Amino acid sequence: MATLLNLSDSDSLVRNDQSVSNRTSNRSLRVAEKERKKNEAEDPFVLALKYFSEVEVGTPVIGNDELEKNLVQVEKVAFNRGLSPEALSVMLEFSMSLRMGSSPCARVLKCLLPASVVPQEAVVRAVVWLSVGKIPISTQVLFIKWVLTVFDMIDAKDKLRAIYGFIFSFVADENLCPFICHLLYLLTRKESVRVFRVRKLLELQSKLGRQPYLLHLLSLYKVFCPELVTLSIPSRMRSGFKNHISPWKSALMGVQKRNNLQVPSSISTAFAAKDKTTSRKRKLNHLELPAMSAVTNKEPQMEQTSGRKLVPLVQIQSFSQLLKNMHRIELPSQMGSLLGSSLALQYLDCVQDESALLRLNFWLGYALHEEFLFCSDGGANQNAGEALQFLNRLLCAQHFLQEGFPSSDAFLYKFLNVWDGSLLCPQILNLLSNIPVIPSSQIKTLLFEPLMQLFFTSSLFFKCGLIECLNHMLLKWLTWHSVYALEDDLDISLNSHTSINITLSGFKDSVMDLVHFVGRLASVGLQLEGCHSLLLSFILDFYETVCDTFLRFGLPLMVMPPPGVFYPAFFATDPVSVDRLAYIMHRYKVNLTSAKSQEKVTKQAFHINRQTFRDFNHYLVFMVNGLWNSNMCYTETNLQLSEELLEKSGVPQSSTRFDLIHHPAFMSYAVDFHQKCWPGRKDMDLNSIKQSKPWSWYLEYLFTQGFDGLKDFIQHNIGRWA
Amino acid sequence: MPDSSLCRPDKWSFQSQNGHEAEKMARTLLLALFEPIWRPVEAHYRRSFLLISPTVPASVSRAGVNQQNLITLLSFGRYIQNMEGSYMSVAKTPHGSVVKRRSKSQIYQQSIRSCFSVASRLGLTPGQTKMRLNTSRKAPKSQNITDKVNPEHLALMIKTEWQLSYVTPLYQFRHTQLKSYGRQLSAFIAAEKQQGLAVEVGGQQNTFKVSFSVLEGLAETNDDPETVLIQVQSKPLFARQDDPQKTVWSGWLSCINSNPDYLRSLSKDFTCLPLFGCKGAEGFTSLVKAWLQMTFDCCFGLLEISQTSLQWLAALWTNCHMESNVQSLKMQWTLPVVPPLHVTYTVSADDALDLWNSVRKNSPEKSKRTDEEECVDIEEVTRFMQGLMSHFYRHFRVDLSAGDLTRVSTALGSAKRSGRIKISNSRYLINTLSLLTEIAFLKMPI
Repeated sequence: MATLLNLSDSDSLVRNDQSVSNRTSNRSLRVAEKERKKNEAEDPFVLALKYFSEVEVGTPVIGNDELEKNLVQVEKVAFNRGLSPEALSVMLEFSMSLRMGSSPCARVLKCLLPASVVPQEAVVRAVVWLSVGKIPISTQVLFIKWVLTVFDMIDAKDKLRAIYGFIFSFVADENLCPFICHLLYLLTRKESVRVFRVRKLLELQSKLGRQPYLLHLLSLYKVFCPELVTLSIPSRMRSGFKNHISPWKSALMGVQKRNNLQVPSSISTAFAAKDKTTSRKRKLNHLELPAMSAVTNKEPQMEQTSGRKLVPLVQIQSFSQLLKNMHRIELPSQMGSLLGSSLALQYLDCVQDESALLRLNFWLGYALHEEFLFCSDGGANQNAGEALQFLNRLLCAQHFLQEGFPSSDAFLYKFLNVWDGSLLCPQILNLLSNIPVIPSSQIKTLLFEPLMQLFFTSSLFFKCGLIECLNHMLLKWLTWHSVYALEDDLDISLNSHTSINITLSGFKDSVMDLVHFVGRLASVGLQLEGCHSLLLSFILDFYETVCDTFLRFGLPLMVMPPPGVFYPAFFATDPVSVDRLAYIMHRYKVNLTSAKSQEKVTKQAFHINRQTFRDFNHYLVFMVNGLWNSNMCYTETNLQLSEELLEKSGVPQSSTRFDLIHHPAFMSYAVDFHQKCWPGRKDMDLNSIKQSKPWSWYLEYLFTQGFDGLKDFIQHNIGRWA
Repeated sequence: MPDSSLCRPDKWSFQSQNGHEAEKMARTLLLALFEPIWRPVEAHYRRSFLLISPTVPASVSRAGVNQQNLITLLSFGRYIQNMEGSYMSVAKTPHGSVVKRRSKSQIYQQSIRSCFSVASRLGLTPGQTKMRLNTSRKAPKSQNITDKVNPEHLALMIKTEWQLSYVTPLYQFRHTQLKSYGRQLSAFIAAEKQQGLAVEVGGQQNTFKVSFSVLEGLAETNDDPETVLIQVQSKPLFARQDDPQKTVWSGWLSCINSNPDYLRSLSKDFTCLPLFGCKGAEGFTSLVKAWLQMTFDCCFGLLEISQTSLQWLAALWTNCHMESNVQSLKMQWTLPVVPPLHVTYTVSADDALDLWNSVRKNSPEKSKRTDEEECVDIEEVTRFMQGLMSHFYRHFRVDLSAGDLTRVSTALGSAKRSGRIKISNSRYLINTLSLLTEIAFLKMPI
């Protein structure tokens, strides 16, 4: 009786909730309560449920109007709003216990549409009735189908799993078998896979033949216990369980719609076996990622000693599952498969097991070597698409992990020696930019020598690409430094897995080598390509990184650009390059001054080479003289340029030719300014801009044209502005 | 009506003239400026060209750069290897891993996955395998290994032609678990052969039976893991009940005279058996490989026997003629003409030995090493081959050095470039296998 009261309470609560919005009267709650109770007693639905829960065994069905009336009542509610959990329990119990025989059984089952959840206890009880009563086979099937339909709505599954063996026993029934297999598939956990169950299923297989439902259940068994059973599913059978046409589906969807419930798709036909894309057969499939599968080859004692239950990574379907099982994930049998899924990559980031990483690296190195270094098949052209896809996937993984793999680094060092600079160029350069800091002693042989050959023998676009790649590499090294140096300051020691220490001075050496190397490449590259402005732009990109190493990355290292970069940038005919050079010089100045002031404060011995300051000053003086003072002076610089040579060029007043007015990059601006300033003037005299007022206007004008680098440079370096 | 200000000629002429001047000026300046910087770099540039031009085949530089040429270049790398007897000679540095300088400034560590962790575990400098094909090796001594190895096992190994592959280290391979591996593999083969039929592992298999066994004694040093033999047996379809099962496929995993540094640097989880030989139907090979790959997370790649290795084999086998009759030295070359020209070159063993001895006698080391263990150097091998080739040229006016050596055979065995080897005499089994192990180690990705 108590259950019934509870039931009616909660049932009407649902109704109350619904009516609460349109109840406008402001009667007191107590009155409302009374009203509700009165209604309840008369509610035909509650009465109907009461009838079904109390009906005596053996009550006749034929000619029983009361049964008919109550059943109609329940059906009406069920198809309209769905049944509450308690109502479901009552009706399921009534139907499966066969209290009024088997004839109303199917009819009742067909109206069991849950409004919210299905109580697990009711299902368990019903399963028990399944073996006790003499339920006709079609009704049994109907019941299992119903369980499959509402499986996701069952509130908990632990007790159902507890009677796994009991459910398993129904497998022997030929009619029930397909549906029971599906139910078992949904319920199976690792601990439920046992030898005798495997044998039973295999016995059935030999009796019934290759039935898909048996295979799917067995394939799940294989995922959990590959040491017990093995099979390979032909591709035509990979579709999963048939989504059994269930009589509840449409009605259930209607109910859910009406109740505004967001219930996941009613039948989960999740199927573990990955449907492999039907890739065309290749003789050598080293570029194919291995499929993820559970480990077959387990250490027998390990299984026993480690009491925790491991979850194969294959079974993890979502990120939340991954988080929940983080501590007990079992790595797949082939580590290469981790690269295939983004979820696995998330986990790879946390893998500490060095053997596992080594396995991954063996596989990756093997694939790269086979494809690009050994390529014994000779048909390498045919699979360029696959190689591209493979490298893109690798890059994607590396970007996600923000780190390269040692085997791909090792591969690159070899590959650079034989690379033609055009095969999969963007990908290779991208991979290259991920390589970690190389000790100064080896950087030359590993990196510089092959790159130098490639650089000088390839097109302009490759040169640009390479400079960009080296810029990225430098950025990554510097970022790495700033992160780890910071951790060091905070005294966070990294775990002991690391086998290599690199000192700050060692790191500085490597960075310096890299910057000097790019400086040399850039000098010669600019000369070879006739100071191409595209190349210059990439080079200036690089120096934008270099000039800020101290302030942005906290690395006390300053390297000035070589004359071969500085002067072409200064003499460039496009204003953008000159502007960027000015910006770079400005940043150098800011970095150097702050380095110097810090040196004074902390008295720390971080010493910036005096030559660096000297070079910087030379450049600065040269720039200011040229742009501002109209007085180019080559004597102070590291250029030997005799007066005779300058005279030979036949340019009058050569020293003024590179001020802000006459510099080829800015001349068009000067002309434009002149026109705007003196629109009436017929003859143009650019020198008139040099008078103090027009000069400052001219500067203002230039600054409004977006030359922010120039603006910073002038404002910080010219006495009047500084 | 165009803008009047734009039409004024005086303005334009002025501007253009001025622009010209400045540009000219800039060019002069740049040329002058570059002069001192340019020289040394240009010199380097030229040098690097000089470096390239003799090594790159003409076809490459002409045809530009593409995948095909990469292969040419690669095969050319092999050529360099032959000439210098060393692979990757470009990148030789002492094996001192990384300089561990300690300074008073901060020390920081690379993150776990970064470059050095794996490589330095393996005792290698990043980016290069320390291993190269040995330039000098002991002359094979006839070994009577019948007292070490079960003669039945030996009989399985010799007189059959094996297709070779290299294998990356096996993860969690245990010599104690061989029985269970056999059960798993036979179930796997049964399941794959009958698609869509589940098979119980360890259940009664009446179609295929796989056995894993250790070939005891087939190892040279203490570090070498024991050789493992895999056999797939099957009963013919219409066989009688008591018919014995027939071996339809067999293969072995071996490691002889391995690189001890490499082995020790691997963690205990790994077993290094880099040489894999197999014989039997292709279908079984791929199934067994697939199972091994899945179970031990290893990778298989074709092991080609390079020209240098073939030359080594030719010389070493000839050397054996002093102890046992090798009958004749038979070599096959393929010359790159259209259509390809195959040259089979057979030398009687006595003549070959004469040549070999003459080449040996010329070597200055000979006198020094008489009392030590006899060693053969790559120079001697090269001289031996050159002698054979010039003899051929004298008679047929065909320069064999332009082609590829594809096959070498004697009574002791035969080896093909495609990675097929047959060893006919058990006394030289260990020697040949250790050479092959060495080649397999060269292919290791890390």
